[in-house]
Amino acid sequence: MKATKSIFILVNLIFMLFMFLTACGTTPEDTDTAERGADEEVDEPTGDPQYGGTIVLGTSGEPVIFNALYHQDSASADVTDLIFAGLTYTDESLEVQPHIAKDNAEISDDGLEWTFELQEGVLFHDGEELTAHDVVFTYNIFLHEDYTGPRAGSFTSLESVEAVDDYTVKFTLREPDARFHTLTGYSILPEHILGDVPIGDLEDYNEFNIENPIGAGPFKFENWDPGQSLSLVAHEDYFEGRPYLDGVTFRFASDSNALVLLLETGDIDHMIAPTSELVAIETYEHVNLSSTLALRYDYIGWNLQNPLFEDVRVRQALTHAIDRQEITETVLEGQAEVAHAPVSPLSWAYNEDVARFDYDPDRALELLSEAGWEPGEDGILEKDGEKFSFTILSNDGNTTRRDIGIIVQQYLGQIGIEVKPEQMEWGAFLDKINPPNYDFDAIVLAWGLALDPDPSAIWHSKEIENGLNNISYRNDRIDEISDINTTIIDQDERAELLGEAWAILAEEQPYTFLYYPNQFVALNRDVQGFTHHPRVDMYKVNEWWLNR
Amino acid sequence: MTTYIIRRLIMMIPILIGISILSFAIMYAAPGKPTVLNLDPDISVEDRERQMERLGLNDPAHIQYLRWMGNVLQGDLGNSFTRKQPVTQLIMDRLPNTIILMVVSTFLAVIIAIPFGVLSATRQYSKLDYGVTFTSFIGLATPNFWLGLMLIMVFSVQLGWTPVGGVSTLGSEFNLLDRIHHIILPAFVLATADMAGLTRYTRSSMLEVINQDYIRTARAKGFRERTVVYKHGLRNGLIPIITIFGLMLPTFIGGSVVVETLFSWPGIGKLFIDATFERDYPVIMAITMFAAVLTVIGNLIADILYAIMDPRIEY
Amino acid sequence: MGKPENNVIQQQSDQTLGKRRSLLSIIVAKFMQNKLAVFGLFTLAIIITACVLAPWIAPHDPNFQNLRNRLAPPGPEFWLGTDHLGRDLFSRLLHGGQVSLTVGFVAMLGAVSIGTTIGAIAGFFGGRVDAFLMRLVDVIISFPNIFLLITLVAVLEPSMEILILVFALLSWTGTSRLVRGEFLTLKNREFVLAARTIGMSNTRIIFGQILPSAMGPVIVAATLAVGGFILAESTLSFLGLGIQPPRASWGNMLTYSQSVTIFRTAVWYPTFPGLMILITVLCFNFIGDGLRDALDPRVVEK
Repeated sequence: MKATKSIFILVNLIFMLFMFLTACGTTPEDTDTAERGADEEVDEPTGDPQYGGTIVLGTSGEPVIFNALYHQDSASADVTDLIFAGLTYTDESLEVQPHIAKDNAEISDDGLEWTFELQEGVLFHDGEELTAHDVVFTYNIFLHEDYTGPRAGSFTSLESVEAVDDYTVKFTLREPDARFHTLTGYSILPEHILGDVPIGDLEDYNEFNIENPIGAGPFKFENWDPGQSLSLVAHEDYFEGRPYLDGVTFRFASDSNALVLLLETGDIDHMIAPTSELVAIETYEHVNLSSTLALRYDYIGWNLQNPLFEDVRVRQALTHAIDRQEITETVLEGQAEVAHAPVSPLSWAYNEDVARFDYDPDRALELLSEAGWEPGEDGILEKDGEKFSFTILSNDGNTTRRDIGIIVQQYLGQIGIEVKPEQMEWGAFLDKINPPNYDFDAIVLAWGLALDPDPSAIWHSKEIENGLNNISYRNDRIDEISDINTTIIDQDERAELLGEAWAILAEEQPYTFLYYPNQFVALNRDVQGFTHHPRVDMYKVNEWWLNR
Repeated sequence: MTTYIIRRLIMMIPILIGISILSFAIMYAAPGKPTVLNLDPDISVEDRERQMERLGLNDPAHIQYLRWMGNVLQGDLGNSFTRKQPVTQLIMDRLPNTIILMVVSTFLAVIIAIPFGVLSATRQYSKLDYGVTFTSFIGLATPNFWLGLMLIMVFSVQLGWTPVGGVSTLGSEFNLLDRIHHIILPAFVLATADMAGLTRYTRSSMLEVINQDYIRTARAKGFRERTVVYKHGLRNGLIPIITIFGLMLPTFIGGSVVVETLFSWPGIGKLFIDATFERDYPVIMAITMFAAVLTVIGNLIADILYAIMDPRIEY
Repeated sequence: MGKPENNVIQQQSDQTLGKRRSLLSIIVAKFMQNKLAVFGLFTLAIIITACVLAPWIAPHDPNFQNLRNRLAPPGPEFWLGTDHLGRDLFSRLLHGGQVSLTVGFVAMLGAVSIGTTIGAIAGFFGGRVDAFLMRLVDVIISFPNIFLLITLVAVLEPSMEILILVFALLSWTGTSRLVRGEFLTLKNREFVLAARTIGMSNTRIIFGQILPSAMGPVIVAATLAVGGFILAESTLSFLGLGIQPPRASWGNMLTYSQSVTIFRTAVWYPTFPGLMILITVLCFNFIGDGLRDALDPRVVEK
């Protein structure tokens, strides 16, 4: 009896303690945050880089395969970027720079022959030297008819690749292709390991792809504990010098909420921080936030097969009616720039001089009235007896875009347009909006932009039937620019041509371009030497070091 | 008894085939195809088409089903579409984690629920009984993930007593204490609902037994109360409880989806939900069938145990 | 069919009805003695009334956003504060309650009607019909529920109607077994045999004679099921498969507890829907428990 009673009391105590602690933990502690605010004034400790230590990177996606020729997910890309090295890389200002190559490609006058000189003494993790033959081996896989990976389409302009000598490699193109710059960065695979594997079997060759990938990058694969962690160790003979870190460990967690908590407890040193959690992360004393504009834009796409959106004035009016400035300042915590065209300000092809349709509901009503839309009895706009009413679709996994659908409902409701926001699971969502269904009125979505600004894949009318132009946009001049821009090797000349395309697209508003979001990396204060790249998460990790 | 078990085992076959056809049909009817889940402008239409072909997704549904069935009968569950590894290996990597979690949480549920249930029955309408009853009701009414989040916030973040998630400390060798440290919170959360339910069952089952004649008789004969309750009451009171275990088996895997997600616990519940979103057909089928087999076996075990515990039941 | 005989039956029914009435008052009396159950009933009545009257009670439009006033703490203007889009939380809580309670009740009604019908048919006719229906129940029970739930909800759009449908279709098996069991014992009782001899149709015997006597355990199970469905909706919301915004439900409001930022800066936001779920489900369980004791003749009072 006594025992049971004390157990009972204990249970009650624990319960009360629990309630108490929850209460404590959730009360905003003003004094504490003030102290933290002061702390941020203190300069980061800097000094000479030092060797040693292992950094833990938190990520919610688990990699699939450590072979850049076959992976399609960013988690795999993050790991392969550390294990492998390519001829070139794209730096943080999106310029292509030599990596294993001594210099950028030497391009023949007709633009068809690209020659690279390789550095000598670049070693794979197993001690073998990386030569022109490995480069030839790697690129020939893309050209092989048995190649099963997803990247053959990128290499249609490549005719052949050959080794002139051990340290010189020559690519021959069928036609000039400006995009080829960004294709020279692919991970080089070791021919001495994979040379005997039939190309058709390479995708399933798990002994290399999953169990023991060997590259020439700064870190060696060590161990993968599925669902938990993956560890890499420094490649002592890395050709740019041994990385400062002894190792890099990826720690997998199920979602960003779990990652933020791991960051708070110091279990991880690095994570890509979601905008919605910045307020919490900013209060962590031991964490620095780094931000840069991401290479992407978010948009609302209007299905041009729907007669509602046929008239360009209607589309312009829709953009006028949505206060994108307010959205960026509130929902995105001020961490985004309003977008006006389908190109990132980070790109060398950016054109600032395009039409803008800022928040102006009166102007929106004017344009709609010009297009024949007048308020009906219930206040909803009508034309020929038909109401202006449509559904805006987003995928349920992305809370920001989901919220934007809901916000747009209110903005457009204010000028008499009836909007129904709907969400679907990602796979079902894509199935619905993509060819052959095109089953949507409007979508909220984002494009992560490719390193090359070629607009063809999204805007060319030939991509309507089977490609990514699912809003069915059609413009002869855009088709023309898409066709010829890649044959212009001179970057300034190409930028001018592309600038014209952006201006047309901005004027026509097939999308309402919403914003360019910032991207955040949360880093433990001890991590030094970090460079924030808008596209590549694992960028120059060999230069990171720990001040511990 | 043996013939009964054999008959039940044979009956499992059509049930399992039925489930496999049903799940394949639902999965196949799901909008969205595995390879087009990536909206990557760099991947061409031809590349996508080739992948569909490679995975056999261009064949009619019944051909795909029969091919899957044929492979399963040969012991081959196929390769995951998105993870490029054999499904068997994906499951074997994660299954032990789920099993450990299940076992520990069942253990927790039992060692907490049964004593409290018995005590609460023997002291019906006492303060203890009300306390236990009220606590179990709260346990039954709390959304599981909410409880989990609160516990993480308190014990892992505020107090730092337990890790935020994961199975073990990164990079450490196997260490029992470390494992216990990691499992205690997820196992407790997984156990709550069952714990509460089990306490209620134990209580009412015991109440029923206690009020029966033979217990009264035993009492009247002057046996000590403890002997009466534990020797005579408990044994009979436990019969219905044991059958519940069999039925609990499959719900554990289901319930583990939430707990595994909350605690970043790499088990098959998490694998399944990822596979559903990725339309990773081989993984979805394998786990569904696995859970179905477990359910059928769970039901069978429940019935057999029931038969063993209660000699009055004839077959 | 002779009239007098019919009258006999009529009389008998009146008698049973009379018995039932007195039985009902005993049940009510027993139920009223259970303090927790009465408390549950009372609280639930308040909650349901408030939610039903939401359009008139709610001080604000539950969907009106004020982006400049996001996550405002509770105060005189917004009694329970605002959510992440600046919508009034109290109004959303009331409207969300409508959705959550509708899901719970309608899914329960669906599951109970399917389960009762199938259980009644199986128990009443027995033999092959029974064997077939019970195998069907086996298949559905053996089907890993949560997986089917996830797949179905992911495949079909997660609207309130679909959610109710899926819940109902997956949850009737328990009821059907219960009802079948009751039928097996009841169908050979005198009053059924009597009804049969006068040529009453099967439908009338099933629904008019046996079913009312078999409803006790079903009512208990149904009460508990409502709470179960409300919880299930919140779990699905956690997995992103519940009721979709902008429609509010307690479940999808509670999912914001997953954000560390909201937890730290606006803890009231997920706490209120969490408490509403907790209290509501608790009430249903109290009532169910009270009904169980009240309806069970074996429970002796001390």
